[in-house]
Amino acid sequence: MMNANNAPNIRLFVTMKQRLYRDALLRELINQDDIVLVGESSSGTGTLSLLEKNMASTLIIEENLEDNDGLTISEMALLRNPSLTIVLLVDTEVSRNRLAIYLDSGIKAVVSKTQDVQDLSRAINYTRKGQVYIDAAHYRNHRASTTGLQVFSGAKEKPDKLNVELFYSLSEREQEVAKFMAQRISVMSIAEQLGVSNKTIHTYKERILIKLGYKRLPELILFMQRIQFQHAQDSSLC
Amino acid sequence: MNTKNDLPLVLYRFDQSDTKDDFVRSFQEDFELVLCESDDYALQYLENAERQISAVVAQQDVVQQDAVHSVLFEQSKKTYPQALRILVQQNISLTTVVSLLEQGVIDKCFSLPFDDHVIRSEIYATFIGVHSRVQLSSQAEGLAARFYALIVDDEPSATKYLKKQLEVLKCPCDILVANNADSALKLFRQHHSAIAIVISDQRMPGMLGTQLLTEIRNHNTNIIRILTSAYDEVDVALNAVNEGQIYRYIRKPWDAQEMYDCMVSALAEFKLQRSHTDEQQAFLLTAFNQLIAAREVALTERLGYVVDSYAGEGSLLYFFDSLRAIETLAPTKSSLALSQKGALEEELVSVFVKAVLEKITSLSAQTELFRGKDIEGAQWLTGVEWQSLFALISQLTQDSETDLMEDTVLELLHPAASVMLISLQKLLASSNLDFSVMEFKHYGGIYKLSTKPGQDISLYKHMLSAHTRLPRQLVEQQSAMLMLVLAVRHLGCGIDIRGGAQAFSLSLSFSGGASVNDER
Repeated sequence: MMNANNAPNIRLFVTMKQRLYRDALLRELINQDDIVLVGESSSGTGTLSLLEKNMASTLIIEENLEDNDGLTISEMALLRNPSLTIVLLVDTEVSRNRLAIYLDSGIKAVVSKTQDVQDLSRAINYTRKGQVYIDAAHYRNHRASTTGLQVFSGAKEKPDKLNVELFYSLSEREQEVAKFMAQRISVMSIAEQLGVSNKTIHTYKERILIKLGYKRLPELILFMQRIQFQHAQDSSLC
Repeated sequence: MNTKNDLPLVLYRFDQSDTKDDFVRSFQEDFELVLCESDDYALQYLENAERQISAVVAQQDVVQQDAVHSVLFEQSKKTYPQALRILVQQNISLTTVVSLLEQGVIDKCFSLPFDDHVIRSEIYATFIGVHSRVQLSSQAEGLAARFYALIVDDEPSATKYLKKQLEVLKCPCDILVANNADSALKLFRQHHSAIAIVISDQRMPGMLGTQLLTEIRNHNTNIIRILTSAYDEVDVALNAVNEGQIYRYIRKPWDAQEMYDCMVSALAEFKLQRSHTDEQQAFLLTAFNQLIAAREVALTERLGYVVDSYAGEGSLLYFFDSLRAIETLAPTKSSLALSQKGALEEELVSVFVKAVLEKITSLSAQTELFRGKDIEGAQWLTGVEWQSLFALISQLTQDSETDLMEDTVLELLHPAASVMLISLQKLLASSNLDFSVMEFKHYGGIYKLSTKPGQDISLYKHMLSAHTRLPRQLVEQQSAMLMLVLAVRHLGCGIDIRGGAQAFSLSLSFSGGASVNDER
């Protein structure tokens, strides 16, 4: 999508203190064809000692690290290599003023841990050539749900929104295929069960992914399972 | 609630109502939109707008002979120079892009269908003021008397000829020539502060022209970037404008006169931007120095007496002098603005003071207990105590397995000596180091504990540098550093902190060791 004019691969370095989160995030990110992992670290000083050697082009770094704060490490890394693209991961959503400070120090995008992983992917893609990227749509939620002084404090209570409507925007046949796919049933078996050709199912599959805005099957499976889970929850309430 | 004021104000000029509807649907939640169907109405609005306009967007569906709403853009450039000027057009032609650049009235230019994420991001960035980033450069760059223009093209004969022609025309810059991006970057590093203009061909083996220009922009946004190409690639030109913020797009084959004219205006633009940056930097520096001076006064008022009475006159000043010699990260506009608003500055001082006072109070109390109040020269260690301190230090430096906090000797030491070691360990740990980077030597009756050559302790920010927030790590690290100075001076030992770039070397000398030898 963003890679139209043969931009070089993203050489990714990730600095997060907790191994589990780092692994989960990396598994999600390196599934993209144009991202290569070149290094990772749990500490700020560790990051600084490896960045240059590994010729990283993009650094995802957590703000709260044990040894130094992520912002300081980012500034330091930029002093050494102004071409480095840095995406800062913050614990909670930041205000616009705070965002301005981060961007002013040369960070290209700020993503909060309360956002979903697609937002992070998008930030990485848009910043790959050194552009600043602000996920402005992200700021809509705040305004709707808050008043006066506590402008950015309502974030934590905000339930993760699941776009059920998106599912119902699929045609009936597509919904049916999506349900099969969520159960990891192969294209061939789905075709057999529905009595159509493999090619038709492939076409459905592509259309479903495009309509829902996903690139890969695992994302669809997660979406479908969440839909089903929510559905079960809703009907138990009735 | 004036939530509307909270949104970027965007003036949107359209000529067909169904495209307007699409636009409104995409952005109504993000911006306060002013919809204008005619230039007249838009111009009128510009005159009377009640607050800062963040962007002027003109979407043209009916295009007559590459004409654009330049009147509107020109007027908005005059009235709201900060506002982002965006043109959206179906099937933009290269001629349009080239002429828009020449007029210098448009910042971004999108072909339909546009990517709404990008437009949203650009307008937001302008809204919160990101595009005017100024940072103090750590090295002072003298203004060169004469500037260079760097021409990059993989056809040596073409560049050679152009260079000659430009010289005949008495081009205001000296010309440097490179045959590919790699050698261009090499030249760029060599002549960094004297290069004003970079002119690069798009299609070269290896790095593309747009990539080279981006790389150069990352290092210095002031340098004027010009892209040339023999091919009509609208997408390349659009991306170069939108992402690389190029100054001109020049079609090949080059015309020497056109190139000359372009370079004259580019150099003028460079000098203008440069003097603007210099001015802002000078302003930033003055304001920053005042801020730091005030911070030092505030800290001295609240800590000076306590520190100096435990560690001897001038101890706090020594701490500050040591910090001053360590070059830390330069302040940015926002760090300054934040400090000047006061809250952060006050917090910085009070949190640090509180942390230090707690530590000194406890150390003083322990010191009194250790010797009892009335003994003359209570702070000095006896020969045996020096011995055990030295033994512990040499164990620490030789065996990285030694855990200082587990060591029972620590409890038997003079409190100042143990605070010295604990603080030192904290300092080392904050740059991921331990005692193994230090060497403990004994010569001429003096024991010295120093960082090994090339093993400096990192320090990116300290109490006399710029901050945008107050991380816990900073307070811990800086109070450990002050406690180290304090403890060492209390014990009557020497401390030498040599500042470098974001790091320092450290040397502690114990002449107390001499008396141990004498006694033997």
